[in-house]
Amino acid sequence: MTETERLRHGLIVSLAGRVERMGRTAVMKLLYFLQTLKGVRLDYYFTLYHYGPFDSEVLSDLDYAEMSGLVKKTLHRYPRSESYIYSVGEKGIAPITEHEAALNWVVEMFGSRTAGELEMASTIVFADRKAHEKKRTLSAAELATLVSEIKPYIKEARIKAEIDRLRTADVLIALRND
Amino acid sequence: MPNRRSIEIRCPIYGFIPLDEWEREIISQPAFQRLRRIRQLAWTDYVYPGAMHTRFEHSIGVMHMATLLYDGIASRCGEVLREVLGYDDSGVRRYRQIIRLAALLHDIGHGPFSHAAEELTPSKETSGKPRAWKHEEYSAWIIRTCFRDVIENHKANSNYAITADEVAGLIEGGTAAKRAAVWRVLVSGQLDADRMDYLLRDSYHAGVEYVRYDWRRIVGTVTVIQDGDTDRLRVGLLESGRHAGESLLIARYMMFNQVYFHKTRVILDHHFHEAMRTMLPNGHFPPPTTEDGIKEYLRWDDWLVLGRLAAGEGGEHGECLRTRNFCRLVKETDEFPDDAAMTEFENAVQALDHLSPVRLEAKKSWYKTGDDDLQIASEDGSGDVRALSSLSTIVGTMKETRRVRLYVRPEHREKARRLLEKGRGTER
Repeated sequence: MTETERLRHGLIVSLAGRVERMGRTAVMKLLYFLQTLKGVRLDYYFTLYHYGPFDSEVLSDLDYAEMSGLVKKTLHRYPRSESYIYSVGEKGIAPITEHEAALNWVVEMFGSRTAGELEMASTIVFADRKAHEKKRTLSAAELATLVSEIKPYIKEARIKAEIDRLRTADVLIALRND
Repeated sequence: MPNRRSIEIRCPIYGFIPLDEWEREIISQPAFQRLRRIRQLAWTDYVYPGAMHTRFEHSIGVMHMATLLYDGIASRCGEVLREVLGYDDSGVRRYRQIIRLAALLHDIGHGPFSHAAEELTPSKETSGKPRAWKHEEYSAWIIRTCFRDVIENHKANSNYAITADEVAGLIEGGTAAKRAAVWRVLVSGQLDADRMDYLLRDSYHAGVEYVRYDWRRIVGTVTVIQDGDTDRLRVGLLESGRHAGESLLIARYMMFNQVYFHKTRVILDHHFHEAMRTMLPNGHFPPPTTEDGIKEYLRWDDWLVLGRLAAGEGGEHGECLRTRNFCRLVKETDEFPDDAAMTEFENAVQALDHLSPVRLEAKKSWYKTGDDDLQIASEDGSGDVRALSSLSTIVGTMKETRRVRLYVRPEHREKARRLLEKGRGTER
């Protein structure tokens, strides 16, 4: 197993131990935030879908963690849908100590958000980073419009509120102070 | 709908694929014609001699399959498209056309011998660790340079105002796709046209017949589901298509093990990769960020590589390909090796270290099977949605293959066998 794989699996287990009712969306987005906002080198390559940044390797790692007993998966049924929730498995793993601060920050900032909120927040961050890569700056209104185009089923007011929240947390680097 | 002449192309999978003049002009571009000279399955014909098909026919097939999926959704879920996405009739047509163009061009950036060339791209600086350029990124750059004019300035586009950036954005997964982003899942997702076509096409040409899944039923039951938790639109299947969805996932699993991760196929990819490193300036392709870089990249196709291999280039690995004297398998794990099996494998790697063994892993394959769960919508009026993995015992127990293999040069095979047996204490 490579060091990166060990780190990925370790972080999945750490998140499972700290985030209540952690589903696949939460795993995907929290790892995205760890890599993108906290610089944890996970070597994932996230690309954008309308449900936010996604890398199928995250699901591969999650499935491996479940197969190996590092996490366990339980099916939860809701009134008209169902999803898998992950918790710490029976097999132990050496704790990830070198990213404790990053983990704490991500869990505090995003650990209690719903899947929809995580999708929205991560899409905003992705769009912000893409603009920064292209050496562009955006106003909050421009960023909201862009995200609204990608997620047309979300009201722009909700997107703006999330942008404000992320701006207050100082994680948006392409945002102008218009 | 504009009055455009329709053309048809014969296809061994679908019968006839209709195109219009705009698409025909796109296909006529040199960068698209290059796909005739890139084999879909690299060196797989060494194992399955019929697997000589190219990215050209696959790309046209993906366009056709993506259209069938979209048309199925549009016919069954018109209300969702209107109410949630705000489409009127022209909107439905516009996004249909964007999907067709993205599907048609999704592989335009492939290197020679397809995925075998994937790790021959240069490093790209990122905010994290540098990583290799992906072929989707090459595709996006090529679309924006070589296809911008034929996309944006073709007379048919006066009806759509489609931009090259939207098409490229749909392929590379950036923000440029904007409102088209919701359809990226049809080009690259759990139920995407790319995978659906290549499974059919690859199994047909390879002659692996038990992999033919019920694609017509999938097209006939594809739907969009609005997720109650996230409001996200998900592409799924109606309950009556559930078993067709199962057949697709089983097909994918079978093709992976029988073809894509075939023990000989993958070692030939390795030899090709090493041979190419000796042939490419600096051991890699140029990045796609300049016109000269793109022009140089597009020179490389299977014909150029085969010509240079035939002329004796490619070093010892080129020689392996010319003479079929490739490395041989000496050890492999089960599909899902446990810790003990992996320890035994690593011990074998160490024992054979002086023979310079080659290690190949299924999880690094471009066709790996791990992916998000397919959603199944009930048809009893309840609005219930369930994951296929919870409805299907077969799908629920399927796991991503994690097999690992070890190869040595053919002249070392016997020695390796003896060393491994000695290590197991079974040498006679």
